[in-house]
Amino acid sequence: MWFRLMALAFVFNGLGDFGLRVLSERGLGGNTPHYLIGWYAAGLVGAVAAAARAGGRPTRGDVAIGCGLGLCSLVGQTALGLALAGGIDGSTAYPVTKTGSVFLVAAVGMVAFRERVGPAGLAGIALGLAAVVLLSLE
Amino acid sequence: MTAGLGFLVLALAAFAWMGVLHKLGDRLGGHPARITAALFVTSFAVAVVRAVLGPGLTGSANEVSAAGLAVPFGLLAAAAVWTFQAGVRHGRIATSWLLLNLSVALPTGLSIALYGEPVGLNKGIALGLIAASVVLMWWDRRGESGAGLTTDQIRQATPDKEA
Repeated sequence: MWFRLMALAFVFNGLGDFGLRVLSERGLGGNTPHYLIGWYAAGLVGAVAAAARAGGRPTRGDVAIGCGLGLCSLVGQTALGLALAGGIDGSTAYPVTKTGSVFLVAAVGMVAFRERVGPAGLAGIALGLAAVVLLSLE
Repeated sequence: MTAGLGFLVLALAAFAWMGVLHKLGDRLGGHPARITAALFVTSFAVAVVRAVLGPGLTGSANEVSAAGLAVPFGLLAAAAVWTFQAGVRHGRIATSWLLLNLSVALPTGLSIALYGEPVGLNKGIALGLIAASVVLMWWDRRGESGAGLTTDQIRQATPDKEA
């Protein structure tokens, strides 16, 4: 079940990100803020429809976690932009934020949530981190 | 440079918190679709404010085209958050978060296939490593080599606390 859902998340997330490349290819890169409005609006409609279909009322926890995720995304993107503007090279900033977040989340998972990853999983994490560094350096 | 480093640390912390929040949402018994809806409500509001304060909203043909182009991709993004939040329940956040980050392989591969972008040595090796990494993580879960505590396992052990 985990792998099936994560495989779907992998595909959906990757395709969802590809829109910005299509936007750029069509010469509309200057309209990124408007693209993002459409992007979030569509996601909002889809998510609200799914939530309504599932029934029930949102709990305070649902709202707090969802809003927290949205704000973290905003703070992360803004801070990354400010770091680049503040003199940090892209070849440093992207690998540090990408691999760093994976490392930190893995550490929190093992310590706070008592998750243990087996040898194959650890090898997968190591290879994945190396891949993220290589892609960030492109 | 000092300010830049400070912002870099802030960005790193914010992105890491996203992974932790996903797992926390699961442990708190959060509903994947409702969490996704709350996320997109917040982000949509911020996106509108940023557009109004930045380039503005004039309703020009380019603005409408850009927003229209985004619709299928936004729906896919919402589906990604939803399935990820639902999947975290059945696995470990360490491998789940990495897998989501590795999805960058897809737009990379599509850019190469559809737009003829050159495949450098780094990019080629990275795509191979991603494939190997995904197989290893699948193998880890299949073989249960890491007998950790997933939320599923915790709930089975303590059914009276099921959310």
